[in-house]
Amino acid sequence: MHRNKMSLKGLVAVIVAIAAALFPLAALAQDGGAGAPKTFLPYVFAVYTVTWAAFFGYAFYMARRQRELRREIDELRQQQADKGAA
Amino acid sequence: MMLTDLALIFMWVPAERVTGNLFLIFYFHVPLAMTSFLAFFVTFVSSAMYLWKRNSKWDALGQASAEVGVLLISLVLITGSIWAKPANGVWWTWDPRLTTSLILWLVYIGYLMVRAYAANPSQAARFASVIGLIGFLDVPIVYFSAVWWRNAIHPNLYLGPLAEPDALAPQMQNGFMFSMFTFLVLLIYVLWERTSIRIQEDQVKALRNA
Repeated sequence: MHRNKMSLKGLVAVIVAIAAALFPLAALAQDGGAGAPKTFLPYVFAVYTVTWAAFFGYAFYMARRQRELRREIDELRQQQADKGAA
Repeated sequence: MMLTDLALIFMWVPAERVTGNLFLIFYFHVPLAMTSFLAFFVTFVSSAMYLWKRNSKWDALGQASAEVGVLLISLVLITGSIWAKPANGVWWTWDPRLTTSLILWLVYIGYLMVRAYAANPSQAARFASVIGLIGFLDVPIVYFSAVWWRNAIHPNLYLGPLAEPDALAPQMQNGFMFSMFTFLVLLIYVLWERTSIRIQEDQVKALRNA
């Protein structure tokens, strides 16, 4: 159940990441309509990519760390319970 | 929310008159800066509360918000640099706001280093809390630098007590406020997650020592 929840979270994160990348890409494809020089949108795209990559990287790090800690807490609690029983 | 924000920025908000599409960077750059200030304010309050109450939950919140704040201010410096290249022809200049922002980044990098290298956790918490209190003094300096040392790179204030009322067209203002709100929600979420990780880390330490 817990694993399903995690993989669903991951799937949602991937979909959001792809969609987030598509907006600047779509804008990049139709550059020129707003009257701005064509060379500017790669900079805009770079900004959005860097920001999203940083947030997703950080979210990934937090999710992994949380998983590790949960497992560690469960193991330590189990060890203590075993000690208590012995 | 993030997707709605992106849709608004790329499909609804009009292009700026002078810089055109380059101004779209503004809708990420400024909210990143404002939320980093807010994160450092949380660190400031948490540090004061920790020094007063000595409750490790305040320390956990302070550490989490400093870490998130460093991530945000790093993004501010990077996105600002990417914006500056086409706008001003340089990646970096020693403009007052850029310089004070870099100092802010260095202060909180120092905060995280003190935490990493202190002799024991209680010393790390105490020393870091002092840095969290003093380091916050730079935040108002960064904000007011645009007023104290007027310059072409940061000509207007868009948010806060000194914001100029007609700096943005109404549609741009609405897009900007939505972006601000989105980043605020993101900050709260990331802070919540990071604080709970730190509390779990403390739990692990306590269980090991038990």
